[in-house]
Amino acid sequence: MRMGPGYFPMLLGVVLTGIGIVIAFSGGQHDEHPTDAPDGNPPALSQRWRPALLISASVLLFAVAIESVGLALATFGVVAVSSLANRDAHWPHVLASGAVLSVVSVGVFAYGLRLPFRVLPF
Amino acid sequence: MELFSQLAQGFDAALSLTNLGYCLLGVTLGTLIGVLPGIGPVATIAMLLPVTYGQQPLSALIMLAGIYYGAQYGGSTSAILVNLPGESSSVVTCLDGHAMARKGRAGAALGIAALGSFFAGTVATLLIAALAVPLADLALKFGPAEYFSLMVLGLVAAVVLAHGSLVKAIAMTVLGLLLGLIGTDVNSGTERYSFGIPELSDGFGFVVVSMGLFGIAEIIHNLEKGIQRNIFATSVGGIWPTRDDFKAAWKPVLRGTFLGSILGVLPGGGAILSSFAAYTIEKKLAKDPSRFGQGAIEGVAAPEAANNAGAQTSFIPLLTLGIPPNAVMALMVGAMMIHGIVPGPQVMTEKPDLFWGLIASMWIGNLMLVLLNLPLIGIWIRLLRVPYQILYPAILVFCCIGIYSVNQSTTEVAFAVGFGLLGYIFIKLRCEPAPLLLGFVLGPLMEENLRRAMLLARGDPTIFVTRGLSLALLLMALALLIVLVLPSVRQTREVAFHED
Repeated sequence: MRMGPGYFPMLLGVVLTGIGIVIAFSGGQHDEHPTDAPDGNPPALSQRWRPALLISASVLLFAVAIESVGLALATFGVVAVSSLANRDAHWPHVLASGAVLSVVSVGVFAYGLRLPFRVLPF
Repeated sequence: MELFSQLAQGFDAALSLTNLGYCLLGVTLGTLIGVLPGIGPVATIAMLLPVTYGQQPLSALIMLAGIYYGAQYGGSTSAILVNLPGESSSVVTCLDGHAMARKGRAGAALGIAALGSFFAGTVATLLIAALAVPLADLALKFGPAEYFSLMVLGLVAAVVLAHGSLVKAIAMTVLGLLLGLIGTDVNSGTERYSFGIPELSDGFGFVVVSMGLFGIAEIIHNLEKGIQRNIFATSVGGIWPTRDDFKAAWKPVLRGTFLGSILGVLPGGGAILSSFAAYTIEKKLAKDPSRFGQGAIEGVAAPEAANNAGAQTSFIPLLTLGIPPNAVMALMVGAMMIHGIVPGPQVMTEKPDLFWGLIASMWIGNLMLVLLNLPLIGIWIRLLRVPYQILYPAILVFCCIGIYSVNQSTTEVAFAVGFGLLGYIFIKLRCEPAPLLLGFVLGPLMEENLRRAMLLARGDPTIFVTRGLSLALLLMALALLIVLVLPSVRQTREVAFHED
């Protein structure tokens, strides 16, 4: 038996398919509805996806911002957007912690550890 | 004694001012993230991996190791005071530790947890030193077939540890193996599953996968369910346990240390399983089991000793065989690779300073942890009051910087978002991400050894069962699988992991 580059992935694929079938057949026996909300009604779909969407958006914002406007603003952007995911956010606190974190991350990573990051937009 | 001269050499290396500094930094960070729920050692070490580029290899490893066992100390603090496990390995400490705090005995619980952990850490350090040489000798007898079989055993054992459904855990492991194969095939140079994306020709970065699955996914999940904390014990009381406490606790500490040391060495073992097992055993042995859950000091002493012992002895398979037994050790492999060190039995002979220095640093780190955790407990309590709302944006920022700094690649940051969402879906589907990460690391290693073994045997797959060592390892894996599906074992496993 000669093994090419596709052999091991193929083997794993077959195993995973088998397990998938087992899971598919054993699923549905105990149907658990999420009862996250205290009143018994599951929260609206848009509310349940709110953290997932906003956290993802904030990280993507970082990816875009780090090379165009630099680390300081990227950090601030992450804090601001990710805080939208928390509906009880106290905005003066958010802005303050965003500013502090910007200073800390620039100080630690750009100057302290000398990582070659763009720091400011100009 | 050769052992002691080697340990002395290690202490020599670990006691340099720089290394002491990094050790202190590591254990302090470890305590910090251990105290804070919502961020664990896996995410922290992943975050700091890129930072270690500029350090000496020994300093880097000392710091990262300190984070892991430091988190075991810190985790008990929040378990006892807030009834919220800072780390998953402190889940059982909540039961009796918090009950003690309610009775105004928080200080004694914290004290016995720290002292028990310190004792366990000392024993585990000696054990690593003693076992390292014979195990490394054994490892030198390993051919590709044995390595492959050993990894099969490790992956099967990792499944035992996973919470929830067994089938799902196996599926996650296989998925991890597959993800690990993405990128250029070393034997033929063919690109696999890379879809022409240049960032994928080397596969997904380890930091990208672990930050996504553990860092980002966890934040999303925590925000959705909402983290609430009520600090219970405002005054901690005397830290030093009473004479009666010591009398009640020394035997459980011994048993916990023993159990943790053994379970830590097993592939797939580590801190979490050790603490569960230790608690169960104490409850079985107790004359009056009904005291458990009401503030029995044995219920704090044994699991805390066990999780620290297990955290440390899980370095044994990594350092001697080069096989990571859990997700944190998989990260340590990443850290060693960054410095061009291939983990395995040769590390001990080629880089004795590094090897023994790391071991010696563990004992030094444990000593630092006792000092950090007992007299300075007030600082950690204050830290517990920082609300998650302030904390999570900061964690997220450090995740982003960590991922980006590996290759200065924004594409990889975007990949991490993908893994974050995937991890979130896994949490919803009750699939544990830890076996996936282990599979991800072992995937390329397993394939390499499988193909090398097959090549040596001229394509004859019976090589795995005709070589004695390989057969023994495979039989152990099989036995473990059979034991797993036995109804009685399944039940205990379900009970053990019930506390989520």
